[in-house]
Amino acid sequence: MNEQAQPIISISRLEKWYDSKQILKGIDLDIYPGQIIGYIGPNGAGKSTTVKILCGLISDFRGDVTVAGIDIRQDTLAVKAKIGYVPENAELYDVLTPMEYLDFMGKLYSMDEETTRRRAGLLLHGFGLGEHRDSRMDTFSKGMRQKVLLISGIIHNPTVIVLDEPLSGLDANAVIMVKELIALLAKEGKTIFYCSHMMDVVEKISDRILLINEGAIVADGTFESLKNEHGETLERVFARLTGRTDSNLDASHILSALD
Amino acid sequence: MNKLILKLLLLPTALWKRMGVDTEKLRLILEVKLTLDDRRPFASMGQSSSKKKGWSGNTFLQFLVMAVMGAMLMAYFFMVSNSYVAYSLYFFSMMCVLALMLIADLSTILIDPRDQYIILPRPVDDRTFAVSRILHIGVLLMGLLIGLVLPGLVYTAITQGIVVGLVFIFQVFTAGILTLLLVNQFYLMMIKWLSARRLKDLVSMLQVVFTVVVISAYYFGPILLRQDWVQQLRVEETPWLWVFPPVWIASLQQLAAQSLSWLMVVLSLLGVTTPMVSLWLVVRIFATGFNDKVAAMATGDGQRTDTDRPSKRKWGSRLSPVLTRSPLESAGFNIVWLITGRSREFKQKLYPTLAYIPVYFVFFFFFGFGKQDTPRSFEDKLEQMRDGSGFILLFYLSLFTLISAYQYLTQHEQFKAAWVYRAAPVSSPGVFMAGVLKAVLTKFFYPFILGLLLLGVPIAGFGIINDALLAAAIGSIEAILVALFTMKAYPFSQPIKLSGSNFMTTLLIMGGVGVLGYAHYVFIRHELLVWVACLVAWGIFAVMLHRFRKEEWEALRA
Repeated sequence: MNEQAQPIISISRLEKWYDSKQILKGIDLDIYPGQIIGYIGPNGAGKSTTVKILCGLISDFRGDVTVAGIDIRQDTLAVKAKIGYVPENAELYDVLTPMEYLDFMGKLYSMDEETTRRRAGLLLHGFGLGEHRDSRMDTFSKGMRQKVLLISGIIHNPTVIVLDEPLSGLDANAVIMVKELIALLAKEGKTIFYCSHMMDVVEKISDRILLINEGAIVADGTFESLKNEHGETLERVFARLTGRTDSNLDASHILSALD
Repeated sequence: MNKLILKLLLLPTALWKRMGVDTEKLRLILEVKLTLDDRRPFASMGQSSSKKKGWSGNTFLQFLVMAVMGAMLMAYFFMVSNSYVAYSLYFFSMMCVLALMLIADLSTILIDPRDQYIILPRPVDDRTFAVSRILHIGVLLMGLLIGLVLPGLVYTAITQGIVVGLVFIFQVFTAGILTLLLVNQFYLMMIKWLSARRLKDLVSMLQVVFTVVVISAYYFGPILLRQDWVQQLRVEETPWLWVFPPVWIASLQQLAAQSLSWLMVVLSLLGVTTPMVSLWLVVRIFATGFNDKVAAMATGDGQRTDTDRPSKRKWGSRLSPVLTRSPLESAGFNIVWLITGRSREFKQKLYPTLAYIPVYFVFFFFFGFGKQDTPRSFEDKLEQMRDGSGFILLFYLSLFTLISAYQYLTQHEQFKAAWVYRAAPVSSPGVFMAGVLKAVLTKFFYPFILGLLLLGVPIAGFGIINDALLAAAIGSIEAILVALFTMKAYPFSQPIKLSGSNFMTTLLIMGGVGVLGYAHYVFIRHELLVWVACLVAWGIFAVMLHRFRKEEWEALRA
């Protein structure tokens, strides 16, 4: 990792409150260009809130967040232009065709029509949707829609790509392809912020794993370093650090209910 | 009330059991489905769902609307002198209303794909499932029928006695079953030829047709019925009437009330036997072909994807580069142009209002303004249109479409897809909204003005051009005002609401435009004045559009 360089994302003392409940409890984080960050944590730990702040969707937070040296509160639009965001289970207007949808997305990022069309055509072909570029998406499977969403997240050539459960609904071949794509994008110097509950994937693709629990980062390091400190698999690390060491306990309770 | 009908239908338990139906599961499935129905708004009515239970819910409202419709159908009894013709027309209209409602409202039941995931994976046998579907439709059909025919039944029983009243009930059932068969056949054919999406498009188009038919019937019905040839019509002397099923059904009553003639007997026999043959066909068709087709439709694997040919340059993509100045404006233009053309919900809501204009046009042309009873020659009618005043009204009537388009523009079933507006760096929402405005004007207002102009020039001469231009300018100004005052969200970013909002604001703006329209009407003969007004209005529009693009749109919620 190029840790001598300036961080592409810099978060310091980040706090977020919903009424009297504190969701983020002072997060400090520097992320460097080309890193693939695996961002994991239990439900309700504050993952989505961090991502939304990072993408400029939530503005009332405490602390400082900069992306590519730009203070997100000073110039939210400039930050949004540098980020490619694919939310979890995102909806799209499925009466449109992929080309029409991507044209719309491109134009929202102020791209000219020609560039959008060219990139959309190439990306759709790359994702195996070339034949369906002019079919309405209402007949598409979940995986096909997810591919279109992924393309919409990278079509404007962002510096930082934030992916929330990007593999949901994809078949095995597409999963392999997306994993390779993520590695290639990182090699190109793009920073990937990857949120997921699929530990095996996070374990394999991330070169830095961040574990958030109850609004605070409780682990930060490579998979190897986490393994040496806390356990053999990422699942074990996760269970230990988020307070669930004996996973068999709950499962046996469920089973006993069927007696 | 539906629950009551269900109880009646489930009474012959032994019969259902003999047919191999699991009556407990049948009751369970139907009860759940009827509860679901009661909580879902009815498509052709646009009613809101009610949280109240039982009779006071949707069912009651539906019953009331049907009863009002039924009361309107009674016009035949009072306006047509010959009772045989009157009853034939009554049954014809009743069957039309039922068929259109079956197509519009019951399509969700007929082709409900959720059954594939909820019921079929459970241990429910095919026969029980098939019968549950038939009975479900049957219950709803009965619910519609009772409301619709109640006024007619009361009238018949009072004027012609209890026996004829009982025959009337039989006739209603006959007509109901016959209609169900016809609708079913329609679906069978359509499912065979069309993809699921096209079928749904067709259904929504038919809903629009339903609205247009109702509006037209309301305006033209009474006038047509007063015509001499309708009054002099006799079934016995008009052989082409003998082929229509409503006439067969009406014959039964004539048989009960009046004379015995060979024609009556034959037609009545046809009336009695057709529904029996139909019923047999319906059961057979429902149990076999239909379910298979629906099942096939529900699985995504075998589904056809309708590909739009890439070579085909669509209107929207042709107009967008001409009418917009930046990618952001083009995005606003395209999204509105494309989704309004394809979203079923939007079309269902907007198209009926589009249909008002041609209906009003024909109405005004043939029957004039408020003088419906005075018979006038075609030349007289032309003369009235020739002075241009008729067209002025129609120009301004087109504005209703614009208002309606705005009302539904922010709503969409997939409103959650609007996350893109928040994630993307939309620097000047005003520019985006200018694209939206241009799309709305180009799609829902200017074509009407253009159409009326093309129609108007041969009738009223070139003098109408400046009137059209002035009306277009005033309409465009109106569009900006409506957008500024009523659009509080990005297009297609809000859940679908059943009732329109901002009614008062819209009414106020419309009132202002009405005044301008009236001024236009007053000065219509001063050609030069109209031209000057035209220039001024377009100038104001240009300035307003410039300001509109710079608007911050703080109120926009994605």
